[in-house]
Amino acid sequence: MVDENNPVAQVDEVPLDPSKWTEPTEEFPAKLVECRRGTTDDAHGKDGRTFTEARGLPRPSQTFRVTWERLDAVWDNEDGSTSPVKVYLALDLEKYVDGRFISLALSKGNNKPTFTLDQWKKCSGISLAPDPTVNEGGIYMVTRLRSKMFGSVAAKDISYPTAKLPDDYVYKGDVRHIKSQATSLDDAAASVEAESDTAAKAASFDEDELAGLLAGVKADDAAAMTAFISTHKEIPANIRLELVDGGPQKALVEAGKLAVSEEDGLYVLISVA
Amino acid sequence: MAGISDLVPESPQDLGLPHEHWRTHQRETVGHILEAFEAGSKVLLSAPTGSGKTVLGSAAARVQGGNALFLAHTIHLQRQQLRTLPEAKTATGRANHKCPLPDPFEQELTAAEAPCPCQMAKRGGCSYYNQLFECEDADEAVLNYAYAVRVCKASGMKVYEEDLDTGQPTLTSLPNPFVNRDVLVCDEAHLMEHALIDVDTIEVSARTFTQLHIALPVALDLQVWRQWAEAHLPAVSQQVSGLLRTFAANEHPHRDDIRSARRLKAAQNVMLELLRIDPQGVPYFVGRTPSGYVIQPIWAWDTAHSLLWKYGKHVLIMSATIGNPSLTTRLLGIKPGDWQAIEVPSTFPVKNRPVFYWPVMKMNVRTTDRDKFQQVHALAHLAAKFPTSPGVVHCCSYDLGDFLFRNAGLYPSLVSRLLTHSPKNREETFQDFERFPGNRILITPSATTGVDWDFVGWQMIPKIPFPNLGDDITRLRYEYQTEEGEPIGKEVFLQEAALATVQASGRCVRTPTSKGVTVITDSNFWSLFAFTSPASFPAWFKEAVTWHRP
Repeated sequence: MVDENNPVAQVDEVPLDPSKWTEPTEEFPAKLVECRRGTTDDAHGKDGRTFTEARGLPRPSQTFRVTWERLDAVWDNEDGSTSPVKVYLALDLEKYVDGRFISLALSKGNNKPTFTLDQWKKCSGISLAPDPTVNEGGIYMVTRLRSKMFGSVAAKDISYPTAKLPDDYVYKGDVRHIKSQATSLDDAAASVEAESDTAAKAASFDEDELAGLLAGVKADDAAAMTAFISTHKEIPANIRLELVDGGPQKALVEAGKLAVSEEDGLYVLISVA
Repeated sequence: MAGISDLVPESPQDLGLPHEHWRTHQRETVGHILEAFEAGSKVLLSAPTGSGKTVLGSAAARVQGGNALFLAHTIHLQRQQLRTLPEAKTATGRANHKCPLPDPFEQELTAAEAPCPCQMAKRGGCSYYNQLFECEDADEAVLNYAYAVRVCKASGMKVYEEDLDTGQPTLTSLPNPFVNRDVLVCDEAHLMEHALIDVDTIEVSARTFTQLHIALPVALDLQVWRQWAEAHLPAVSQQVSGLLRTFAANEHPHRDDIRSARRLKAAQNVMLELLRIDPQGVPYFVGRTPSGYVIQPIWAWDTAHSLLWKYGKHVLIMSATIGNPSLTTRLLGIKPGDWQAIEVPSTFPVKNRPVFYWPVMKMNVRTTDRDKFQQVHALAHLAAKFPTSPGVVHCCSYDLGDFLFRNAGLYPSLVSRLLTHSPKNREETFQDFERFPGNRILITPSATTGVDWDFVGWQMIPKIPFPNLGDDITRLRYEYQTEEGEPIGKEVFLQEAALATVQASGRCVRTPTSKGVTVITDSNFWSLFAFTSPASFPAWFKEAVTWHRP
């Protein structure tokens, strides 16, 4: 039982220094599908422009590109099919400073490329060679760091192998099915707006149905109409707004579907097709 | 060999629950809960909206073949649980029940003010006592936290029962109908800690003590207040017993005597509660309020430990936003190794509820108005992306809401869509927005919980809702460290911000078919999400988060 005087005494300690807090890491078996030199222009931006065009650089800069294909997870597509989950790593081999390209000293410093290359070196039997024939196609146990601080700079998505697995290795654990996710705000907005449009199109909300709902409501009584609107949320929002001004009621009366009773001022249903 | 989880039937109907089929993940979750119970653990269940938490709790208790006590945060949520559990019975505090006795002054008394127990304290008697008997007979009882903590303290209930020999009603002591249930189910666990703190909060009315000619201490120090209570309690208790003797002798006591008795009783209660505080226990905050003073514990672990956990053989603690289980259990006085956490995946498609992180501006007290303009531009950008859908801006404070609303004049198209409110017209504005959402955008600091706005297409969170450090109690909690120097207060502060963000993001997606986009534009989010409090975010929220790079 908990010591009543000090209930937190036996709890695992969380370090005071935020730099010592555990960062999210993952370990998984993966196939190395790409391991080669490349440039920043190998991938295009969403607008179709290359990195060089977007930044106005004189030429693309050199990178080292690594792509893993996870064996323990697949994407679930909407059509029921699955796609491989890929993990990408790009290391900058040079940077553009003051109008010229400077090669990064990969063996020095505290940065993402140096750290990653060191991790490759630690994994015996593997050399990180920028030659596609050396490592591509092999299966490795991979560690992925979502983020890591280098001094005050946070680097994202670092992956490196920790062991080489046999070439005939088959993953026998549970394969995680990851649901496909909205990847751009524009797509997500379009999806929501499409539904919103649908709601607007439902503005042709069946007139007869509306007439049926309005029957028994007092005409020319704002309070009665407000109460009607607040209780009939199945009517699309735009029509509910118009009902405040009386447009749809007037149209229904003119169309001969509703009338106002002279006796008590209530809407009366005339005919429903 | 068959495990206990194999006892979960194919259909919830087989357990007497009013549903034909289990929802996705429900059946296996009940199995996991039962396995954890069998291992002797308390269970922390993180289950998102739509997972059917009440059914999960009830099913686990029913498979065990025992009776259960459900705890909800408010009376409103108690009623909501009753809709799912039609056979359950509920009980509320005395103040919610009218006393059926005629009052000499023709005032309507509540059971809290009445001279209980009278001869109506019996089965089929007054509504307060009757509900206690109903709960005693029912396999499932539903209480709110505040009442549960008070009622569980009672050793039993004093009621009138017919004497078997004489046939006369005799005052008898019956066991407490709420304790020693097989399963204790705590819902909305993220609100539980504050509900428990409220129970132990002592409010001192300066007016009451002025009328009694008792001077209150000036120092905001618990020790001084306890010494004051110790000094005055004997005299006050003597006066209370004197007045009670007068009442006993006089069938129709004077109205002024009754008022004095109430004041003296209130004063006596304050003093007794002050003396009940364990000076070696959790720290207390002593502060001034407009009507007097407030004395409250800053943590609830003592209360939870001493007043709740020992009353159920098995404990199930549930919430959509349970936070980091190891931190939450510490706050609730549950020792490490005495609990297991179970997380239920969301059944709502992740594509319907994306959360975009768009780092526009780091918002804090030092952010200048000029920088805050970036948030106005971001709002306009989002409004343009959602021209026909209604939106909500969770602005965290009225100040920021006012700033966004006033400065949206930069964008005439935006002005015609905006709607905001002050604390005074919040309800009316919410009703107006619900009635005519159109493509309007509501700027509000107070809709992160408690509203189901399925019709809302998008939400913006321009500022992470960190608790207000200008508030004395929040500051005291934030600065709290254990004797070993562990900054638990800071962790709680970050977790509260994380959970409020998750709660806000869930407002617009309440069913599997509804769609809603959340965009977080405060650059503080990423450090909270990835570094300082990642364990506080549930997996169903994490899987929906994507960076937005315009």
